[in-house]
Amino acid sequence: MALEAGRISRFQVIMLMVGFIFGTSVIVSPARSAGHDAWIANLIGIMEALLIAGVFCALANQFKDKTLVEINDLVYGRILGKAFSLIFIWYLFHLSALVLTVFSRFFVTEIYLATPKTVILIVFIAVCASTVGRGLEVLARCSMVLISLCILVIINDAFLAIPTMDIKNLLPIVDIPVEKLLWAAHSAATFPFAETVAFTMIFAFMNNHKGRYAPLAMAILIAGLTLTLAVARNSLVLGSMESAFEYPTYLAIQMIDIGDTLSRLEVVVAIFFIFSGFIKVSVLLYGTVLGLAQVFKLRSYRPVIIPVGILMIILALTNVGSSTELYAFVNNEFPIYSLPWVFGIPLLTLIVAKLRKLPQTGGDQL
Amino acid sequence: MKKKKQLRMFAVAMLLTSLSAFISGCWDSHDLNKSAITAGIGFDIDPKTGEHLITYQTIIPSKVKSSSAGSSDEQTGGGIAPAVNLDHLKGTTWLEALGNYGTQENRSVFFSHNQLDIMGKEVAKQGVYPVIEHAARITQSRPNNLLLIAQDKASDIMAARDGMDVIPAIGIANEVKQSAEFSKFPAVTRLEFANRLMSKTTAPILPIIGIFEETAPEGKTFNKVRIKGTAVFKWDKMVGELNEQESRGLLWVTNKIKKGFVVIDAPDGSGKASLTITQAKSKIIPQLTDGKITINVVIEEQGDLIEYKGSKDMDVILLKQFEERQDEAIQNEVMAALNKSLALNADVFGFGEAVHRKYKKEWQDISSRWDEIYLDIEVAIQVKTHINETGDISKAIIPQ
Amino acid sequence: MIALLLLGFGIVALIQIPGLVKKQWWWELIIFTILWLSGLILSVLLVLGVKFPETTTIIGNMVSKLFGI
Repeated sequence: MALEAGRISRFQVIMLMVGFIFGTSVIVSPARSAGHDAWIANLIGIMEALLIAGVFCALANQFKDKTLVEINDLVYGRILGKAFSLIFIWYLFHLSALVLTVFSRFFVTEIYLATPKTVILIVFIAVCASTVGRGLEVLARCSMVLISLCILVIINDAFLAIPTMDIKNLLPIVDIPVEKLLWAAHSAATFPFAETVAFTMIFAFMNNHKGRYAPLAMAILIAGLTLTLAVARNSLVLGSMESAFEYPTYLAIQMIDIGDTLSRLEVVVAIFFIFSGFIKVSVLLYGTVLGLAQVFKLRSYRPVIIPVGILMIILALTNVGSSTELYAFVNNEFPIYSLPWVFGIPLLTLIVAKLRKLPQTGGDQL
Repeated sequence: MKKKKQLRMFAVAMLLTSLSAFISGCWDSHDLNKSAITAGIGFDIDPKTGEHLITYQTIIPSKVKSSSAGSSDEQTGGGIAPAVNLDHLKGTTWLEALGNYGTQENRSVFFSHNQLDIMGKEVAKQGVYPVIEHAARITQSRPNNLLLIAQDKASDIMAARDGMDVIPAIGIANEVKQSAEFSKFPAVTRLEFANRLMSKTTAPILPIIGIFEETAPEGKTFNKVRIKGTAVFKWDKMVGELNEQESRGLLWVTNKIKKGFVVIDAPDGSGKASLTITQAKSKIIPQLTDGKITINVVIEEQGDLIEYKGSKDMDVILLKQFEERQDEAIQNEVMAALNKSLALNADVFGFGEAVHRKYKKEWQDISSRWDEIYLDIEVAIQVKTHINETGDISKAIIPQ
Repeated sequence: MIALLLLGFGIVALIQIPGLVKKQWWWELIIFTILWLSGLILSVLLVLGVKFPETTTIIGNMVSKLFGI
């Protein structure tokens, strides 16, 4: 019995990836360390991410209908392959816990002031778990609807904020030393763009067998440009306070006040944050349980969804002591920590695969 | 099969019921009649005892009827009975005062609809940063709240009932916005003030509000709340004040003129003439040559003539003379502002940031010495005005 | 609080285990039980107030030391 019988179309994959990239980046803007030049850092980060994505897409293209876990098994043999796969599954699991941490802290700080984080996390995971349990097709269809709305809302908010913008806030251009700008660009590339390496678990289920790079590049461009617009809007509206605020998007939208009628829109935007977080956590949860099912040769991934979800909640509650540590990690160490998974290991696997001339047509692996 | 279906329906019903508990928000439900919604907060420090006093107006929702100000029932304060409660909190620091909230209120305070923060004169003298910083951290406060400095004590302003609105704080907030709309005094939001605080060279400003006694024609005295000046800060301490003319000059330079009037002496000696401003734009162009900074302020304005007591017909030469007078009038206002700003050594116009935007390499050095440099800069003001319309009439209404 | 937790885990087990037993998926049942038990033990420890190692902070410190930022 196949673990996943669903097939998704190109458009659905693109929307899924855009939603995944939006994830937490609509709340915690990428490339914050660049101050008001964050939009430039973002654009550079997009280009870097396109290069990184080329590597793991080449790997996915080499083995058209196999998920990363299966690829690892083929390339490295059973034991070493499972080791690599387990480390990758840890990456997805930890990333999901990070996303949940950011989410729960944002909602508890800004909106649900008294609700315990645990409750928010439980409800969130319950929805993600039930979606993943119904299969990839359901998830893809959800993302089609939700994320198209999300993109429109983000672009719309940028336009609504125009009366409160001041173009002088973007000047002078490149005010910070170039190394800082490049570091910010690199941190934007790894969070959120290069995290799409998670899709190596999903590419196997696309229903056409053309290249995997085109949809990914398109998704990175769509999401990247929308995020750059949002980041530029934050700098334009908030000025130098943008670097002081912890959640600049939320506060920039609080400034929108058109004719005393269209105001207090930030709650609408918070709802769309929930959508994008839902897609990201669901994709990561799906990758984790599918990976576990393939590593342990289970007949279905459905039994493990809820326990893995609970473990994610526990990790999300305990993995940082305070928001300060969390954002210090995201800005300083995460760009380096994620490099092996998004770039190093896929490159290694690609080289070994090419050396061993895999996949072979007919015949067993060595 | 039937039993399984029944079980399933039961489970779904249980799920929906338990979900409704989540959706209504158990922990975070705010009941309207259990919340004290503040409309305005005043901060005072007693200069003698150092005691911190927080005054706030909370809205009584049941008493808010239609806010038709100036209706015919004039009472002793002038106007309608206000729909707010006034309360005070005391302590030795701001947080202690806020903490005392629990001892005297039967509702939980809700800041999200707060319109204004007013800080008293003593707070401005000692430094407003503690108030600003704490407000920035609270998530209920919004960055587009208005900030004001009280002429004397904020508690007096909070207590004033001048009949403008059922909720006095909203009335004051609207008044501040009107004064900015008619280009009298700037309206400063929390975000703008914070941005000026973060700048190394720009001096923060806030409008000053005071209570004036005015006599109505019938001889009754009213207390009216009015904005009377602009406070100038050096970082967070108030160092001086701009009067009405100087505030106008400030607005001209910082491109904040919207509507308003320019009053000039008519060129044919017929008294005062007035022009209304339809459009105004200003640009600050810095120039750095050999370590000397020159700032060019270019102001362009377009207006219409609306009051002229003389007897001449409208022709181009007369209009040109009006324009020249208008240029002069605007230039005087800007010069007044500039002189005051130099006297206080406070860069209220943002000249420093203009230099920063254009000369980012030299900025590190310049910004550290800005206090000395500012007094040496040369400012050249260029005013170009144009009169478009003269209203409905083009001849004076006199016997021809 | 612990009672609520046990109730929650009990419900989870109740949803999954009968289906697995009926289909005779023993291997899946074992994996499920391992994960379920670790979840149960960890959450009980969390509720009891035992201090957990802060995973992300630890990783962050390791990365900082390795690359000397």
